[in-house]
Amino acid sequence: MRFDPSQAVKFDMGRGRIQLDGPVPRVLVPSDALLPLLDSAGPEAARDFGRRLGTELGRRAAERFGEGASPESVVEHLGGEAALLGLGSLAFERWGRALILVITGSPLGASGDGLLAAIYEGALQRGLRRTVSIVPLMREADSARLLVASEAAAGKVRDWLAAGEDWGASLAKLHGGASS
Amino acid sequence: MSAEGQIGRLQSLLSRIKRNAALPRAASAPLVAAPAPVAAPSPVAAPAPVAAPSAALTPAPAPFEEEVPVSEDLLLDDEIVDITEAEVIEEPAAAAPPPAARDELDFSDLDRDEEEPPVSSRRSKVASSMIEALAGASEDLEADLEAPLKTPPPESGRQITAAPAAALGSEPPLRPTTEQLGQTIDLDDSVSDATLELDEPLSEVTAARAPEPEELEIVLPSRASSGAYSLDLTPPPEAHEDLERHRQRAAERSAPSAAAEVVAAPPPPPVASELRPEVYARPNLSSDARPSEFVVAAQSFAPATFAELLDASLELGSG
Repeated sequence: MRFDPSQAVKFDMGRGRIQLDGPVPRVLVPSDALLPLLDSAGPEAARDFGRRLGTELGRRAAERFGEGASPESVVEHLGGEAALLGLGSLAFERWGRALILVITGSPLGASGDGLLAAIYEGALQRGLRRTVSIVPLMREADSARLLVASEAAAGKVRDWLAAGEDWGASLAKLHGGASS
Repeated sequence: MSAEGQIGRLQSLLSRIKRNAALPRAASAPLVAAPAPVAAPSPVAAPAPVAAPSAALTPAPAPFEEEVPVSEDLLLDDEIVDITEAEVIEEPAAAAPPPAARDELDFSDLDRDEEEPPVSSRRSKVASSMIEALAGASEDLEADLEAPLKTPPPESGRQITAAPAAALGSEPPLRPTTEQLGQTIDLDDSVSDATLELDEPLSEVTAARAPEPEELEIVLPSRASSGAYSLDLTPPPEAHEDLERHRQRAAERSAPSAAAEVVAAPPPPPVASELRPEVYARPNLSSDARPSEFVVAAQSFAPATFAELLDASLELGSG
């Protein structure tokens, strides 16, 4: 089943409401106002904010694909829902056995990569019932690569990156640790 | 006595010997038997078994005893040279009676016993000349002496020895002797009417007669007639036509076969086909075969669903 965004967002001009697949109304907030707010709220508040957005995103995407959905199908529906929120374009990369999320054109910039990581953690946990930890690996212009891993593996990669390791070498070390 | 006197006496002795030899033997026979009663009436007859072995062991003296009476009667005492005294000393020991019987001995004949020659043979008188030796030899031959079975003692003197061939018993002569040639044996006529049949020698019978075959047995041609025939033989007149047909058929058969040999290649000998080698060759490799394998995680892992990819990524770093 392909992703169909038709009639996904409803603007009620009489009542001055925007509705997106549900009774809860939406608010259009500029991205440069949101980021300072999140920065002032702290990482844990920003993470909870992002997980909440991701849970709602994952629920709507999971209504269209099941447990045996292919990566193409998941990226289409999950990326489609993320696109309706204005969070950029989503793609998947597989480096070995590692799943990498590539987000291009996010309006939040490099400072919003943490918020994106929290959104997709919530989405995957709600849509696929997996507890995941997403680590930002790198940033190139308007695209960011985020590693999907376990909590333990995510901590090792953060340490390696903090120690100055290249994200490619960190992935190689992660595979070596897994193979050994 | 001078030598001439001795020669004269010997010549006279030789003449008497010849004269005595010419006398008939029957007249001297009683003289030979005469000495036997000398020992018979004596009571010494009991120990005869004791003396018997000595006589048996020395069979030679018996012929000499035949001459003794003759010499006693015809020869003078001084002409007899008896040198058997040493033997007499030994003989009584063997012929001596046991002590128990010695008391019963009659010594009345003692003087006469002393005059008799000993039981053992005496040594022959040594011939003093060649004429005497020849005369002694002729007497031995005329006496028809037998060869002793055992070797006599050396003092027994000259003995008659038989020829080896006669002792071993030579084969009887195959040809009849001259005495047998003149004799004719007349056979009596047979009572019955049966006729005498002489059988043939076995070797001649087996060579002449071949085994007769049985009733159902096939007689194979003998070796002499197998495949051999005389070149001079001519075929029978009725076989001329068959022979011509056979020759014509053989000529026709040989002509096409010669042509076929030119056209068709000779078939390979059966032995060559059996010796064809069997090759065990390595099969060709297909183009899809990959001699090497590069083990890469990305190549060996190809998730079909997003859930598999998510789980694989979550397992990284878990060890």
